[in-house]
Amino acid sequence: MVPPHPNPLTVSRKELLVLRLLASADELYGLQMVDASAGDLKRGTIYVTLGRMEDKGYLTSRSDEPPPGAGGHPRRLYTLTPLGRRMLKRWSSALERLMPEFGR
Amino acid sequence: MSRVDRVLRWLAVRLMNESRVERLFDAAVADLRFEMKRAMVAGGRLRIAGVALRGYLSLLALFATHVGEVTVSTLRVVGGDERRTLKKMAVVTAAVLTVSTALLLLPPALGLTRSSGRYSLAVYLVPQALPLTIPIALLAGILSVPLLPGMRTKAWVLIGTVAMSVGSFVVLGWAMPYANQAFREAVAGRQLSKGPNEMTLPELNRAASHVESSAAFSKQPAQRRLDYHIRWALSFAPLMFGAFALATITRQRGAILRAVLGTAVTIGYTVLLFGAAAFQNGAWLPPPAAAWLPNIFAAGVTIAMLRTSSRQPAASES
Repeated sequence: MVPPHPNPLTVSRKELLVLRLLASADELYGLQMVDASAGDLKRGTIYVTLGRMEDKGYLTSRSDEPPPGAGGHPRRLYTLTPLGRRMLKRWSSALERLMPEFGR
Repeated sequence: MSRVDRVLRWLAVRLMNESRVERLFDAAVADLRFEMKRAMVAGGRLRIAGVALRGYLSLLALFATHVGEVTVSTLRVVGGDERRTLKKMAVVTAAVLTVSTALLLLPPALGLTRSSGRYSLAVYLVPQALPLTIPIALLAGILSVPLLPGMRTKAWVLIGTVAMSVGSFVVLGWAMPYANQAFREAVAGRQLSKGPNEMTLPELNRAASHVESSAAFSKQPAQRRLDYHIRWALSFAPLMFGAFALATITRQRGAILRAVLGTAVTIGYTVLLFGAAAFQNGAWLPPPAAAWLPNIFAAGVTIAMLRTSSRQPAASES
């Protein structure tokens, strides 16, 4: 089952939060974003949100190989793309103009 | 990889494509493993168990979110033809529901006018008609569509039939008993004790259990139990009729043949429904089997229709 390609021009509240978190840190794991969001992002939905944002072209991800000898599964690290940065800038400024109390 | 991980991965591979398994499922599992390792270093069995439980629940939530996202996105993309098909189905279903309910209520309404002049009391009888008229209207609505619907239309129709089944369940379990009691008390002008038709589903279950435990030789216990099971079984009628209608329109394009098949199934279902009491009274069948016989019949016809049609090419593709 593959969802149809998402609309790249729409940004949900959660996606905006992910964009902000990734803008403030260079690279983050999914779990780190959940911890940093203070409950706004949930473990059960974060990976679907990140996958959708990758499909939209806002993020890229790479496998972070564990240190030699450490074992375990390679974790996935997420980074903003130039499009993701532009979307964050545009949406933040639009929100600030329309609704100053939410735009901050 | 633990056994639970293997089972979850097996599920993930069936629900998602390879890229999403890697990007969503593997990413979540890797983070979970990392968190569990951290908990092991920190120590405490309870802490590790808590992390594992939270992690596995979040994996199930991930599956649910993925399936929900896929379903919503797929259903949202309904084209113009499909929208017209759904609209026609809804209009015909609503029209047949209104007309058939009115026709069923006409005789009692006329009787009430003649005897008491209070034809408005017929409103209380509406819930009695709905469990029968809902599946028939649904059947007529689906069979009225001349074109073969696409997968999305079928999904929407199935969602509609499930919603109608839930509606029937509420009517049979609660609305009908309340309306019956209100009708009897309005006619009598005083409070009355409830009979089996005035009991809600939980009340009927309690009454059947009570009679079963106290009157071993009476026929009443089985009758109450049959009433109870019929209410459950009849709630599934819209789903059964909807599935049959979908199986029919997928292959049979002739309007007359569809009408004949629809009428035959409706008559067969109704005869078996009213025959359930006879089957049970004659001790030929236990109450649950007698009550579910009409649904078994409808499911059997649907399966036969699908099996027959799978051997021959579809009448046309949408």
